[in-house]
Order: sequence, then C-alpha cells, then structure tokens
Amino acid sequence: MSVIAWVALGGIVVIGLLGFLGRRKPDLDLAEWTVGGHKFGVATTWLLQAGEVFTTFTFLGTAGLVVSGGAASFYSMPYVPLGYLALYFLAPRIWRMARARGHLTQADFLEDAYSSRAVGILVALAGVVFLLPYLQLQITGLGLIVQVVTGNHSMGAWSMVIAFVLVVAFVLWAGLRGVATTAYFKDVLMIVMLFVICISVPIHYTGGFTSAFEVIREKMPEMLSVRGTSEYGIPWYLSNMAISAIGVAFATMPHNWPPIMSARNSTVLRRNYLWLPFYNTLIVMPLVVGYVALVVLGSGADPDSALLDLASGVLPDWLMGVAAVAGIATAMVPSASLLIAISTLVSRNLARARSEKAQFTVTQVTVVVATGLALFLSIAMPDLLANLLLLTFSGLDQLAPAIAAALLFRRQVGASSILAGALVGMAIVIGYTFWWTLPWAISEGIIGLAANVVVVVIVEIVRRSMSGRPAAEWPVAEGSMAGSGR
Amino acid sequence: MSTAAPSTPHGRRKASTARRTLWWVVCLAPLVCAFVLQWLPIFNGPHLFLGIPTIMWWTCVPGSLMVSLVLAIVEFTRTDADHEERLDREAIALGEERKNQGNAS
Repeated sequence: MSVIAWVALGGIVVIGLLGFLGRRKPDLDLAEWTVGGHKFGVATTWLLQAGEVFTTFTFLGTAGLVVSGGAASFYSMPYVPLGYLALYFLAPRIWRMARARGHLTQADFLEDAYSSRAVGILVALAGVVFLLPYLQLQITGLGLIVQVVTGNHSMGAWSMVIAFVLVVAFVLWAGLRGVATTAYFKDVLMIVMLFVICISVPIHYTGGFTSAFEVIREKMPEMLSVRGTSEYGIPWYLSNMAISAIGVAFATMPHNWPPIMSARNSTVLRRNYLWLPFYNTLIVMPLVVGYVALVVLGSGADPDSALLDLASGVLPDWLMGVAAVAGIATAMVPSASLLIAISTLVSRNLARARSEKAQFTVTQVTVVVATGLALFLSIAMPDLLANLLLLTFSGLDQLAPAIAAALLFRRQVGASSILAGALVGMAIVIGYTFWWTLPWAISEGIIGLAANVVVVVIVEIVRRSMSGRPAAEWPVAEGSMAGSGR
Repeated sequence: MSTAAPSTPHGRRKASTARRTLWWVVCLAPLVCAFVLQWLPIFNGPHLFLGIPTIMWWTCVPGSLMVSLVLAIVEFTRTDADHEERLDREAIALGEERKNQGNAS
C-alpha cells in the first residue's frame, strides 16, 4: 500500500476515534444524544453550523463548478451569508420553541405549529426520502477522494466501508457530541489544506493565481462573467442563489435543526450568525483552484476530480494523504449529522414510538439501517438514487412557506393550506426535474415555491371563509411560549 | 409621591418599531447588492480588479463581509438584550417543567 493510502486510512481511524471522545459513556437520553442536552456554547455550535456548509461539495464540487460553469459558480459564495441574515432573527425563535416545547426535529416543530400529525408525517417523510441520497452522495464522494488520490478503485470502496462503520459506531456512542469533537478536527485540517492547495497549486502551474486569471481573460473571457439566459446564465445564477438562500434562511434541511437546538441560549446563535459569513469567504479558495484547473486541464476536464488532480501534481505523497484526510473528514462529519437527523425523524415522527426508551432504540436501529442502505447503494448501484438527489434541495425548499408562516405569522395558518402548498410545490419540482423544460434555466425550486405560496394563500382564504372563525394564535410570533401544548 | 408605574429599564423592552424598521433597511443592503450588481456591466464583465475577477469581489464583499458588518450593527445597537434573555429563561423553565412532568408520569 502506498504512503497516501496509509495516511488516508490512518486519518479515517483518527476521525472515528475522535468521535468516540465526544462522551465517556454511551448516550442513553434522546435529547442528550440528538441536541447535546441544549448545552453547547459558541465554539461548538459554530463548528456544527459551519460543518454543514463545508462538505465534500466544497472540496470536489466547488472547483468543478468553475470548470463547468465559470463565473456562474460564484452563486455558491453569497447564498449562505444571505440566509444567515434571516436566521439571525429566526433561529432564536426556533430555539425557544424547541426548548420550551421539547422539539427535537424539524417535523416536531411543524407538527406542533400546525397541530397536525399529517404535517409531521409529510415533513418527516420528505426529510428521510430527500436526505438519504444526500448521505449516499457523501459516501460516494469519500470513495472518489480515496480513489483519485490512490489511483486504486477497490481502495475507494474499502475506505467507504471502513469510514462509515466508524461513523455509525461513534454516532451510536456519542450522538451530536461525537459530531462536535470531529468537527473541530475537520475544520482545522480543512482550512490548513485549503490554504496549502490554494497557494501551491496556482504558483506551481501558472506562477500565481493572478497569472491564471490573466490567461482566462485572454483565452476564455466568457468564464469571467455571467451572461445570457441559457444554463449558467443570469436567470440560472439569480434563481439558484435565491432558492439556496431561502433554504438556509428557513432551515429547510432537517439536519440544520439539531445544531440550532443544541445551543445553550439564543445569544450563542446570534453571535454565530454574526461571524459565520466571514468564515464562508474560505469558499473563494476552491473557486480560485477551479480557475487554475480551467487553464491547466481545459473546460473538458472531469469537474469532480479537478482539485485533487492538480494537487497531486504538486504535493508530496504524505501531504497528499493529509489533503485526502481533510476531504474524507468533509464527508464523514456531515454524514454523522445527516444520520442523526434521519434517525430522529423516523423514531419520533414516522415510527412514533411512545416511550423515550423505545424512541431511542428505533433511532439507533435506524442509524445502522440507513447507513447500510446508503453504503450498499453507493457500492452496488451508485446511480439508483442519482435522480432523487436532484430533488433534495429544491424539494426540501418547499417546506419554506410552512416554516416561515409558523415563525412569522401570529395567526395560525391551516394545516390543510400548508399541506396543499407543499404537495403542489413538490409535484412541480418533480415535473420540472424529470420531464418539463425550464424557462431560461430558472431553478425548478423557485417555480415550485411560487406555486406553493399561491396555493397556500388561495386555500387559506377559502378555508377561513368557510370556517367563518379566526385562526388560532400561535405563540411563536409574540416570543411567548406559555401557550397550551398542542 | 408619584403613583405612575416605573418605566421599563432600558434593555428590558422589546425593540421599538422604529428600530426594527432601521434594521430592515440596513439588512436589505447586502440582499439588494447581491441581486442587483450583476446587471451593471462594470461589475459583471471580463474585467480584473487587482488581478482578481470583479465578480469575485462583488460576490465576496456584499455576499459575506457586508452581511457580517450589517449584523454587527444590529447586534451592537440592540436595546432589547434583557428582553431576549428573559424569553430564553422562560423557554428553559418551561422546558424543564415539561420534562419533569414527563418523568413523573
């Protein structure tokens, strides 16, 4: 086995061991396991929230997006901070409601807000169905990283198995606390390696990143601006930035909720959203490497492996191994968060185990089953869920009106209105993803969301006029939690 | 002796409507920049500024740094910090009460 393979395998084991350090004894309390007992301070919640932004996509996808779409890839930089702008005001409300009313999942919150079990089930079902392919993407990304750096296909498959057996083990043992301890390691290593790659790759291949941009300006000027109305044009850019920012702003991804709920108080969250946009500027580094890849490898290069292909020509074997470990960490740590989200949605909102002990057992079993399923599909049928993955972000964004109405409106919107809107939105997203042609390459999520909101408004007007009585008050808008449990 | 109720100490009230409106205006700045700047040819063209594409500057500055600046303005001009803390304490107390009731039952 090569030096790179040994370092990569060693890194996987270290990440697994760090996960176990999250707790001395295994967690037996579901709230402790899922949200760390609501006791995390600024540093830990910071890393958990930053960890959701920096995934395998940062390492592989961002540079690849430059190779495919040029300047349009820059939509990936502002959308997260724009989302934080809203979360700064909304996350404290989510935290207080969760803390006061015992919510542990996104579906708990929405079921309580709309007093509807059907809403809880729909949200949980959407979460599980759309997050499973996202989990598989992280596993496949990990395998790809090991395969690219070692040049060995079977090594990629074995690394997936070893890494995810360890992820399951530390998630079962330590829950969110295990994710937190690995997140420290992941972020430090990722930042160091991003700096190393971003400095060494441009200097080695083009004499510096400004020289790379000069070459691009002369030979491919179209890659420096966003133009036209086709794919990667202005409507594509704006709509993708908007739908992604809406997803962040209203925390439409279920795995975004445990880090919010785990905070010690709402000040922790506000302070995090204040400084996280600074941290987000690190995404500029893989974007720069993407432009160097355009110069060196051309626009026909394999987008997914562009960053690692360039780095392997510059870095010594041991350092390439460390770069691989950083990439592996960006797959393992977010996967652990995804597993916690999927398993709690199943135990609390789908299986609906009554006692806390039974809920905890179902959660633990789901962690093993979900990982086994995603791992099997990654190795045996990697393309099976590929289409479903296309729906993950746009599909889950259809929950934004439900979350927004619960957080912002004093009068409760009817569950029937919310259900009708979400179902129409998801149907439109599915239609545009698989069969229909998008006008000006606009994101299907935006079209679905527009229809979703229109349907919610119409059904709500009809519902209120038919029932003839005002909707019940939901205490969240006032900030008071003293309402009766619904 | 005055019989009027004591005024609410500074910081214990909810933020006033005027202050909230000011926050809205300030927070809209990076949002408007992010969605408007690409329509201006000077920002969205094959140009470099200090050796870096102009698009990289205007997505980085309004998209990240300006958001932090705007939120810093909001955070450090808040007059409702005590009110927020009181709501947090209420939520924690209710949560504990609910948990104890669950354990007891």
